[in-house]
Amino acid sequence: MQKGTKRLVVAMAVVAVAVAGLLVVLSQLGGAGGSQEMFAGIPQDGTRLGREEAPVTISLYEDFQCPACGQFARETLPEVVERYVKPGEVKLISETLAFLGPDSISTGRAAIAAGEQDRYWNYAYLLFENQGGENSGYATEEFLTNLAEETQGLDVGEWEEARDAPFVEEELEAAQQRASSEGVQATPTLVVSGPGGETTLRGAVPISEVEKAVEEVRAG
Amino acid sequence: MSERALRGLLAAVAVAGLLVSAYLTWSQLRGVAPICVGSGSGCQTVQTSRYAQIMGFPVAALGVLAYAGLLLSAAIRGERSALFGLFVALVSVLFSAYLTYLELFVIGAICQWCLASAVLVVAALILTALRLGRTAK
Repeated sequence: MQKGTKRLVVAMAVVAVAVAGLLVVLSQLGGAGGSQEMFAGIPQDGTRLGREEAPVTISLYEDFQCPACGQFARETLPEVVERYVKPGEVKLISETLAFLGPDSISTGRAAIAAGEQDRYWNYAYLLFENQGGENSGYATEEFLTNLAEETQGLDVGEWEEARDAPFVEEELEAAQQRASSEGVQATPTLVVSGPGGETTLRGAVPISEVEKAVEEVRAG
Repeated sequence: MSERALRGLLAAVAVAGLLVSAYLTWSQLRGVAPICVGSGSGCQTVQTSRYAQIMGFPVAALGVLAYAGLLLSAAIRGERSALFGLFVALVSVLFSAYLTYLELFVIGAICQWCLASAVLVVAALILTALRLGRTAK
């Protein structure tokens, strides 16, 4: 092979890697669409996402510090929302647990406070997108307020007040009690229930497992 | 193996890939679940996942473009055409590797058609590399 051809082959390989990399980036960007697009048109009420009358309920036990919860939220949740929550087949109820450390408590309180304005899921999305290291102290006041400012439609002043309101603490305790009665010992845990019964999924499960569980409990 | 034979094999691979990707594109645009061998619903899970489209453009349609490029490369003699074929095959292999990773570790389901396409692009990469070795003196 001549020198010129060799150079051409190397240049071609570099361009090929760049093109493939660009496709990967576009593929990652394509579906996520940001919290605004992801939750657009879906009713929210406190920590509930989706229509109240949806036949299947997924109770999602999560801790905002838990890496597997972050993985589930980033990789599987958008698909669950798109495929099941938007068409009204499933409603998601987040059960906020705060057992990993101080950052779990502050992030949990912040998200529940956003839930008072029915922006829980938008705020939780940003928390997971910007998740820091476990117990690294990343959830500072500034961090939480920045996310509140980024949350579309959230009145930051009201959110600030709500964070210290008694209902936030009550909600955290109530979620902990529900976790104990359901036997939840790790996060994320998904309790999928419907006319056909109830099934529990543990860990950052892929969409195929959620799909199976929903089909199983949907059949009445 | 002569360049002519390599081009013939590349054309056969490209036609097979065109059929696979055209079928997947058609099923995606029509909203029909692709026929999956065995009892799994993996093809449907993969096809309805958020990764099945890039900015609203079906990923399978990218496959159609890539295989059409390979077919074009096979049809034309010469070094430039061989280089173009190698470029298309390399991009396809890299992107297919990413898609296979998504199937295995993110979506958690396997689409047999997509795997078949991944095998075809690897074959195309080998053929185009051998062909360039023959044409570039």
